[in-house]
Amino acid sequence: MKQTDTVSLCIPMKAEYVSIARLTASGITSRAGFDIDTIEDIKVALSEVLGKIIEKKPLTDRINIDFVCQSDGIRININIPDNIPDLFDNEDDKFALAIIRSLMDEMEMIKQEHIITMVKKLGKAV
Amino acid sequence: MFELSTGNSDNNRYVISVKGEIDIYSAPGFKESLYQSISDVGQDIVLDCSDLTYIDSMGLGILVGVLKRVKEKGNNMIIRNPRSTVRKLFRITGLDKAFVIEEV
Repeated sequence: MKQTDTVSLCIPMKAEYVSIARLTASGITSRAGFDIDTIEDIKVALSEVLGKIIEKKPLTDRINIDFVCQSDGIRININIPDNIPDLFDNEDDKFALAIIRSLMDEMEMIKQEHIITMVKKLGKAV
Repeated sequence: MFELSTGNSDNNRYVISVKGEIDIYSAPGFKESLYQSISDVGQDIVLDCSDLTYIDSMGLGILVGVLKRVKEKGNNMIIRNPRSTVRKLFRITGLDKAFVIEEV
């Protein structure tokens, strides 16, 4: 059975707090054993998702992020507010989606649970 | 946050240096400052990214907008010395083919 540690972060739905989430991601992924380039990749991917959520001007005032540290990598779950049907529906969002898909090993939007989940495995740098 | 410094000239090209982070928070200010900086420029523009530590898709979108405006005037925009993390984003998004990227 895999051992998992989960770190949860809740930030205000404001652009100025995205850098706080990046800093937190940096600390957690470093602790999880990722190299510096991969840590940067994870920070960028997380920042893209948070940026898109904030851009859509949701009605909720906070974003919840769970960093699930597993023996073989990390899973990041980000809660999407109910009133956002699709994060990447505009033409302008294509850069963000391309970046996230390229930098992370897995990315999935689970609409029923209002979650975006991203996975990065240890030892698989882009 | 970011800092923009302008006014240097290099082989008849207008050099703008950007320092810091461009993300969802700093992007609106970056866009305003950059558009203001290039408004009266009638030559190629070099954006020196040596000290640009972070840029996201919103920042890249701003650069594309600037590139379009510069090309409308018959000029070009050069991205100088991007760090590996920044350069990777240009590659992933295909923007390394739209911009001239130079290392000096």
